[in-house]
Amino acid sequence: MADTFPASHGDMSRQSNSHDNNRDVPKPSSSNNNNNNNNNSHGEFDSIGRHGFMDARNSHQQNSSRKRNNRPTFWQRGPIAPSMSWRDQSRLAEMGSRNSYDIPDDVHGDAAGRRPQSTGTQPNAEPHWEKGGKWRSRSNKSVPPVRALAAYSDVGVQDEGNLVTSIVGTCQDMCPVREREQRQRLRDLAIFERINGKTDETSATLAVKRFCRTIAVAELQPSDVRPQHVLWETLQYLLEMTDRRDCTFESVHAFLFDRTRAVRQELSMQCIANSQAITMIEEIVRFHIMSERELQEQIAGLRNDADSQLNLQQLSKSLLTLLNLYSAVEAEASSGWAHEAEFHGYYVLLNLGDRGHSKAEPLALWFRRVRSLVLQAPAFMYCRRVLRCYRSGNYKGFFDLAQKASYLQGCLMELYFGEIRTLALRAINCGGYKTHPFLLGDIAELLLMKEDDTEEFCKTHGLITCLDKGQLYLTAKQTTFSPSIQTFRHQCSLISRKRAPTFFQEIVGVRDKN
Amino acid sequence: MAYGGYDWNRRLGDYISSVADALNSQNGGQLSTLISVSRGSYCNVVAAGLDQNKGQDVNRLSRQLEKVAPLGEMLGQHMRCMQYFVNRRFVDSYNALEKSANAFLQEFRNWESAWAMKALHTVAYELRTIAEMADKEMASNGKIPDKLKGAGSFLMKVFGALAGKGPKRVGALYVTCQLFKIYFKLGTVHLCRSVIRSIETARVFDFEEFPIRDRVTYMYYTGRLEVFNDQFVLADQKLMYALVHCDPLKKNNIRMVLKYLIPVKLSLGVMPSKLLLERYGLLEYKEVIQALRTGDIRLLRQALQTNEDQFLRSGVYLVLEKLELQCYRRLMRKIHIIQKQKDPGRAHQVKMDCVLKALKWLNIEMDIDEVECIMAILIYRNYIKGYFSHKSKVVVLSKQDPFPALTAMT
Repeated sequence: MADTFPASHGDMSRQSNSHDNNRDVPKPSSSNNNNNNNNNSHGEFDSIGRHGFMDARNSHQQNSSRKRNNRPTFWQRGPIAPSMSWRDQSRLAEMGSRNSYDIPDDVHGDAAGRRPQSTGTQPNAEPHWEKGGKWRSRSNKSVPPVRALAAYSDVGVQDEGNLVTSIVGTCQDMCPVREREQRQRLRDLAIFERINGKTDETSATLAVKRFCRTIAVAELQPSDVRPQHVLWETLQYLLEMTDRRDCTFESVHAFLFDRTRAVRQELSMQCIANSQAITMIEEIVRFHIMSERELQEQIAGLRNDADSQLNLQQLSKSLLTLLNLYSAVEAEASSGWAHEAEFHGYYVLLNLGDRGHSKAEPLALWFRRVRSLVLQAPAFMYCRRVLRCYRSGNYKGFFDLAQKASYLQGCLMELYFGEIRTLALRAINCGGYKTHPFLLGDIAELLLMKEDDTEEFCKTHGLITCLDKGQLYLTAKQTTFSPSIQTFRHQCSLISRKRAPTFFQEIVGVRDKN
Repeated sequence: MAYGGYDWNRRLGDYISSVADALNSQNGGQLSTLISVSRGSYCNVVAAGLDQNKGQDVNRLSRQLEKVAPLGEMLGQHMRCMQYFVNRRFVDSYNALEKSANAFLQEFRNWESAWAMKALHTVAYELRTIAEMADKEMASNGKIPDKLKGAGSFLMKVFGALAGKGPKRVGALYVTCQLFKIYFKLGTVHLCRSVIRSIETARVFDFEEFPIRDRVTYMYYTGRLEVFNDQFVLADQKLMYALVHCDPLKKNNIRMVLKYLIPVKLSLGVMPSKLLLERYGLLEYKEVIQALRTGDIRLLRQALQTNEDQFLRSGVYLVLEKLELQCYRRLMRKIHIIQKQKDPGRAHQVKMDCVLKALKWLNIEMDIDEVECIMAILIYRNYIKGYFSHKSKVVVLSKQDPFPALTAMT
């Protein structure tokens, strides 16, 4: 691997010339960071004199790449030099003086000799990297911006079998040929991938790569991984499917759920962090939000709650990745990312009922990290007002705001409608005047429900309505109030009306120039 | 070399001898002083000595380190840590420290008595402090900071070593507090739960046996956790404990406790005096308190907005937002008082229209339905006793105790 560290020898000679001491410096064992770090078998004393540990000012012979990074120019340039931008696909990033292979250097074994979980990147003499000769030179030039690594690694993405590697994909189709042929053979094709409904025939225009939970890095080839522009095209193809009328939304959703997850996986695997990646993940998040609601509408009552859980889980994962990316990548415009406030708002709405029991950071702590640019943005201020109403129990304010919500905001708020409506009934039942029954129609209007639905809603809470002169009333102070166990499935038509004419338009919206 | 030929080697030898002395006489305090890094006075000595020594006489150093057996391995790594620290290479310093701490912990486990507890605490403190510096260094170099997280996992091991029966358990609370500080800094406060459970439910620990400093810190952090869960009564208990037991001379600590105690107290209807705010520099709460006293919702909203950054950063913003309901309660009370003066017989009936007018005068736009909603919530949450009529748009306050004390409700 001599070509990987061409500069190191040169540096060494420069450095040793400038120093007085003529210690016998051992040659750097070029690829063996591992050996030098695992000192435990010998005991620490052995390493003291031998590896020049005593003089911290001298270069570390163990690790010539670290030494290279200690050059002052590196510090002056800062972590992400402009040449590292991935926005220009045509211009490959220079290697520069930064070697991101440095990251595993810090991954020492702890004193017990256990190495932390591998991130999948082996810097030096790993045999399988030597194999694919045609892309080996590529890997030297395409260094993933390290902040991107931070964004993708933060989210516990690793427990999904999502690795962070330095591979650059070369697959030009939506589905790599290997997988396509294998699935054809095994007749493992989704409905949307079949030609004329045949279970064993597909084509490059129909097959889409599937999400794979466990990936062996050793077997991974660049022809299996799709590069950025292919991922973009794939995503557009997938999102256009949301408007298909020839099949149920449920089946489309299941297909998209899996395939967009694969897209996200490949984005993180290749550490792609730029404005296009951000747009892609934004669209995926919108898809999840929208589908959560659409699914409930399509199969009211019959839907498995497990599906909802899974969808929400992926929603929060992708949202967290997105929020990390916003801070990891520098925006081009001085006003920051166009939709940053919108998505921070979704995070608030998703966590309205934030309780410290869950694994998520409490909202109070999360707010500390939000940038002031976002804090002042109207979309985010709106969500904060929703939060305020929710926490005070101000159901009228909450529903007033719901009427002003955008479609996607409404989708998220709708998750809490049942809870707030129950609270409202409780409050009305508790504080109302016994001899002045509440007109049911008024309650319905208040809670954005149809009158029949309101009546049913009261019934499920153990409250009875009475008929007087052709109008329904709810008498207060009923003692039979009991919280409803079943979730109320009827959709709010007000929110349905806010939707854009097509799903695709809702998801993609007004495209910024990429 | 910049040290002018002074015999650092000899001083290094002296240092190692002092450590040996401390070890042999089982003097935990002295050992703790000697191995202190970020707050210690021996780092320069050690660093200079190592610099001068480098490579010239490996055996000499090994022989010297034999004096401090069985802590030889630990001290070797620890001195390296000090050397890196002096050279401001914090990541390397942390890595060496972790190795040293691991070696120390292994020996510590073997010792019957808890004589070295103070030294162990110093190690715990240094782990956290240097990890924070290392993380900053990593971040500025564009790397993912993970040293603080690593320090957290390591300290859990230390906690495990202390949490059994025996004289060592008294030191567990200090380590717990270091863990809290780490988790709060990282935002992973859900990890506090397991440690808290060990402390509070295990029969091994009698809370009052712990040193008072640790108890105060512990109550401060657990009190803050209760605030995140909206458990204000519990938060009040814990933060008050911290306040009462805090050293009155440590003004900064008192200020930190008060910063979180004041919103909690406000939620329970207890107002701090202006003197208190002034003495501890917490004037950001002044307007909030005034708004609550007068029922001025507009002032409350303004006060929250003016100090938004500060409140958000300390994490009390959401708590203060909730005080708005109390403000409405105060406003109702004022209306009630005024009406009593004008017409005592019908004072308990408050027209919603009247409330609407008052709010309009405060420049708060609201419609009658929202006013009714607020009234309903106030009644439901026991801020007000009474009922409301949807038909006639009137709130009828109970004749007896219409405004129950705020501490009565949770």
